[in-house]
Amino acid sequence: MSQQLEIKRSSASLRGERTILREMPVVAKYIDTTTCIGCKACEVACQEWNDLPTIKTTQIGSYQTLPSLDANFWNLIKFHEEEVAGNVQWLMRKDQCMHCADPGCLAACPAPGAIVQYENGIVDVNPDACIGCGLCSTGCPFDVPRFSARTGKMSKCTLCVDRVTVGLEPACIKACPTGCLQFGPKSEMVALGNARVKQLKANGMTDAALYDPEGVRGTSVVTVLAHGSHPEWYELPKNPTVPMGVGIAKSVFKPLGIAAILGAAGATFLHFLRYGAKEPAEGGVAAKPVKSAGAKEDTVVGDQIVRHGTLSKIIHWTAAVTFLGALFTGLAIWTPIFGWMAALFGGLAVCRWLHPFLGSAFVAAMLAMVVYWVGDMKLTKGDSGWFGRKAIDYFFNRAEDPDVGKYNGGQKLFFFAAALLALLLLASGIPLWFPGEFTRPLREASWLVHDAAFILFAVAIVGHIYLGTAALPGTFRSMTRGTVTKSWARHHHPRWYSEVTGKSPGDDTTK
Amino acid sequence: MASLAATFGRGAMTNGWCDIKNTDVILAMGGNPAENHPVGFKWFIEARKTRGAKLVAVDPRFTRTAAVADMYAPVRPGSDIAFLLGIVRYAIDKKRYHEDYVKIHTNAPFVVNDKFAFNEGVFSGFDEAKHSYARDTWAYEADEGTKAYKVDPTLQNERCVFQLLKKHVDRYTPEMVERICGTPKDTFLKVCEIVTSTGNAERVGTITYALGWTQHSTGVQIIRAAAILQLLLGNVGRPGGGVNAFRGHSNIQGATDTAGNTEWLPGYLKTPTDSQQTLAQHYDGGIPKTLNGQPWATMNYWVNYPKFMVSLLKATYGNAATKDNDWAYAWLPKVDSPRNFSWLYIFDDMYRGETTRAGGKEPGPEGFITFGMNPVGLGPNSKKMVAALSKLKWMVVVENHETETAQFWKAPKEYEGAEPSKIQTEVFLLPAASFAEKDGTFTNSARWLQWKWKATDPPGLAKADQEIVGRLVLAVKALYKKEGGTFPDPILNLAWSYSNPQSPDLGEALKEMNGKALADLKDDKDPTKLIKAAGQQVDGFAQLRDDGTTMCGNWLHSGVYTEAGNNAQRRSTADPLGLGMFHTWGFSWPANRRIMYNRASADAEGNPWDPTRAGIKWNGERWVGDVPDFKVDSPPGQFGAFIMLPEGVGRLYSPALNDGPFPEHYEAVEAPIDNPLHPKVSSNPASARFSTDKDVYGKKEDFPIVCTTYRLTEHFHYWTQHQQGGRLNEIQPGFFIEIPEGLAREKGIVNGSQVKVSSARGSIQGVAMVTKRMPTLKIDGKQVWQIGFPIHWGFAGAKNHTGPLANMLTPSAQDPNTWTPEFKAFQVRLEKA
Repeated sequence: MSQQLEIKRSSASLRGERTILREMPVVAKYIDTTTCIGCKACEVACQEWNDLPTIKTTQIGSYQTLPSLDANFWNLIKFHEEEVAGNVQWLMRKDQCMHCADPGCLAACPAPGAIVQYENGIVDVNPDACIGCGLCSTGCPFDVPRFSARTGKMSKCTLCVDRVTVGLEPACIKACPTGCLQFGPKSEMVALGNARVKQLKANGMTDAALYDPEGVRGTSVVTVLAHGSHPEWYELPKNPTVPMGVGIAKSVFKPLGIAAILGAAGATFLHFLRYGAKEPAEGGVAAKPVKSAGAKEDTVVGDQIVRHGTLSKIIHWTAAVTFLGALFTGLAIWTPIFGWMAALFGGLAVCRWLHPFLGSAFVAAMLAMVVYWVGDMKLTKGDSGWFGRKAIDYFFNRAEDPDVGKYNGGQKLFFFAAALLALLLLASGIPLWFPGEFTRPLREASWLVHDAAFILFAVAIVGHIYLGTAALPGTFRSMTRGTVTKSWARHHHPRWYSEVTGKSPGDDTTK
Repeated sequence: MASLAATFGRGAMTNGWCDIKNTDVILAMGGNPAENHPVGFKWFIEARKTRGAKLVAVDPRFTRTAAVADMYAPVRPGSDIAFLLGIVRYAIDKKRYHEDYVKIHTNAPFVVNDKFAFNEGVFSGFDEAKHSYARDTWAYEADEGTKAYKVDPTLQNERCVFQLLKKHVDRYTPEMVERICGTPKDTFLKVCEIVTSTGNAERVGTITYALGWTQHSTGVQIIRAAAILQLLLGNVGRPGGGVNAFRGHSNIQGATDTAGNTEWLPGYLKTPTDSQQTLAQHYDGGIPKTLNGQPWATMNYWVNYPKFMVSLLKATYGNAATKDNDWAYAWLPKVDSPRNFSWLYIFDDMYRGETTRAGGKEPGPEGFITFGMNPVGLGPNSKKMVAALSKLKWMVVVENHETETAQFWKAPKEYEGAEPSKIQTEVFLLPAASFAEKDGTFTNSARWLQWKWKATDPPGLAKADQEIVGRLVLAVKALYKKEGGTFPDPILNLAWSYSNPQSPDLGEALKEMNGKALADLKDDKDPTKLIKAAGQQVDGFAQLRDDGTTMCGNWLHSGVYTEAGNNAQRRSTADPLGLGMFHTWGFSWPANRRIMYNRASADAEGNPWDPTRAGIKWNGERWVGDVPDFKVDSPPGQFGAFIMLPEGVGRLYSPALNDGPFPEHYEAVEAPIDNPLHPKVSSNPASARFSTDKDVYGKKEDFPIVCTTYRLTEHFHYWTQHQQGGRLNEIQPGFFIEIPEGLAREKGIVNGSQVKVSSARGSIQGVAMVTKRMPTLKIDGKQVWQIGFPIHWGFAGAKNHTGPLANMLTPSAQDPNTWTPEFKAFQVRLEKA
């Protein structure tokens, strides 16, 4: 049964996925747990054929080689003892990638072409494209893909795609001495399985069943179970489906997120067109900036006020740069629409490597910011208005809140929201960074939290940049030179102006 | 194998691996084939899938075999005879035996003489002082004049074998079985029902076993009980039937066939004893007498013994063996009778520094050559093994690893060996090629000789066995030639005419084993007809002669390398009968016969019991089907089906063993209870034991837990632990002790923690594997715990892969027929380490 490898589906691809020229029969492994003796010949054959390094194992009180699959151990017999109606059962099942018809790994994979499903049903990792992010393992309902520290890639059973392509059976099948493993077109394997189940039922094993779960539209591994109503005894999920989180992340968050980010950018542009820059009559930008280096914050230097000292600026720009770095590396991973961004960093795999470091640096900068600025961010009574009327007035009625200190309520809200989101990004980022150390549901939840948090953050940042640049002339300088004009201060932050200059906003005569 | 020979005539698996697919019921007991014979186990699966055969696993543990069986019955180690005789009783009691078969193919109708008795656990003829039986009271009753056996075809005579057996097994009620074995009565009865469902012409069952039966002080009698059961059910000789012994190594059958035991020469010819100084005396002492004038006439095939013996002598001494010198018989070594030269006895001699010979006491052995064997690892009571080797002057170890034997002198302190500086033994380690590094044959359990080709060169200085032997032979010959010596003739005259004497070609050796004509062989009936010209390979042992015109190294293997070529290399999967016989794959001794005793697959008229599974059948002129285990043109009724036995029929009652004509349940030498049947004779009265200070046995009060030992699929004996970081060490990483959950709770032992197991002979420590698979049994009214652990580890081996030797704990008590130690049932104590 020699085959050409036509690709049916490919991970993270934007356009047509099929490269198919002709139909191929879907192949499958047949595993009959009722005739498996757990001899582990398949384990050794898998190790040998795939040239996997020997793992150092220790005796922990079980016949099972390892607690679960490993990046260097793709085929593991699971041994399970169960007492059924007073009789001991010793159940053995060969565990490996199930090669789902609807592969959660492929759905979850962010790297274009890193996981492919061939026309014959084999789901394979392409190491050249894999970025080792581990999202495939989050997408897998069978907990199969593992990150290989040795290769930096995800690894799992390939269904011996190299052998199958040239008409051979997978190595595990070849090695099986009892014939409990078979290989062939899936239709034949299912027929074999159904016949065996029928035989077992006739033999008194009334609970026998063929495991070929519908939830993932069937798998290319069909398993005969003596206790069909208890797949958990074989460490198989009862009703496996592609985790809901993958669907939400991919089908809800992603389009909404793209829309929100692009929408925010569009909205600011439209806002600018409609309302233009908000500038005091005297102008927000000083004609001749003064040198403020070394000057203390909230002091008057010449005709200008020092708004941000050197440390503030360092903190802000560190946060800004690391945020943008994390954002761009993240966006490239997030969707192939922004995949081109990966080129800025040297490829998607570099993005995957860099992103958590940039993210961590960002959170560290945020932490410094919180410590340094929190004193200025004390909420006042008037700030609550920024949840409603004051914000509308600010954006659409050109009105200024007379009760604004160094930071207005909106800025404070942004500050606290940013701090919270940074915390969420860190907390959810860690399980995504080290997927091997966390449970799958936690990783799934983290994925959604990370996506939601970054989308909100990205939207907020678009607004932040808009307000910090085009919308309010003079504001940008407060973060570059560190100074603002008195008129800018008086206009936008009247109370702060009074505090710094000792004058009431109305008294100003500098102009 | 002694048991099967004493029951059927030949000591080997009666059927074959592939034949298991033809069965309806498999009783897997005394072995864990899924674990130890995973490749052959495919035929079990085949039978289950294609025929709906039932697989019944009876074992002290819930094993890998039990995991895929239709039913599992727990049994206490060392209680198998009670279990099997319980089934025999059930078969007789419920009339579920194959009566027609029993009447014509077994000795059921034979009448036993009236001196035979069985009282309080002891058969007649027991000599208490010698712990052994004289067998004369066990003889059949025979007509004084004609010497013909007396038989009662109606099976009603109260001294006929059938009635004696019925009486003997009557005590083994299901209740008694439960009391002795711990098998719940209902479970046992279900096993009985399944197994005895084959006691008829339509159905066939097989029994498979391995070392779980042989390694007991009653090992041979356990197998006897199984053989009796199969004869009663009419399952011997039939496709899908038999008593199938699975050998523990790939070539152990070949080794046994070729003088692997001290009591045998190649082909199970007997080792001459000191009382047999001439060939005539040897024949007189060894060949069973044919008794004619009885209804069950026999071929008594052993009447051909002289042909095989003379041909062997011609192969051994070549032209130096002549009619005038009694075919050089005098040069063969003679063993001192009645002493035993089984290897444990040699070690006992070493340890004691004393050897008992016919002429009196002599100093113990001073040197020892161990070839592909690791006695310190595989012998019982490891401390004694280590101590024994310390007494030698020199030892040669031919091995592919530095085994425990090779480094006995640096055994860890718990082995209580002497300080290395005090040990004077000079050890020579000769690196040898492994099986994959040399050509040759494997003879599997099914008696198939299969040629294998060398896969790779041996590493470093390692040499193939034949080269090591060749060099040794040439050097010893040269030494004798130069120095003379006390008795140089057998050495100097040893035939060694290989084209490369230093490293004989194994194809040539196989040709020599097959045998050839030394002169033109003419047909006896028609002297003008030439059967074989001088120098030609014979077709089989039927062409061998006792007049020196043929030579043959092993008559049993004759036919393996004929003029047609090396038949062990045949690889045809043609199977015209569809029964998995594959007559053109390799070569199966004897005479390429795939199922032994196949005459018994047919009824008195020569019609198969089951036409869909015909072994052989009589077509009016000749027997057709498998190679008949019979004279091909002898009509049915002329001879009995078991041609190697003088009775010609299978023995329900066998007067040929050392511990009784019927099996009887005896407790292991160390057991948790006294024998409920006869507490005064609790263990086998004839079992062999040593008496040195190291051969100690524990009391059940001190060592209350039953213990057994076994092997694992993932490892090969004491080899695999020598491979640093190998795949097998990866998938089964170290020694463990299997402990039932209840016992673990009682002792506060958690899975994966370290525990210590002690017997009267020593202690070992390992990882606890707490499991549901070790059943808790109620024995003789009390709860008895049992634990077990695998062999495979020892103090030698690659870093990280060493471990305790299981045999540190095992006793050296042995079966009195085979001298196999009781590795499978002994008493221990368990504690947290």
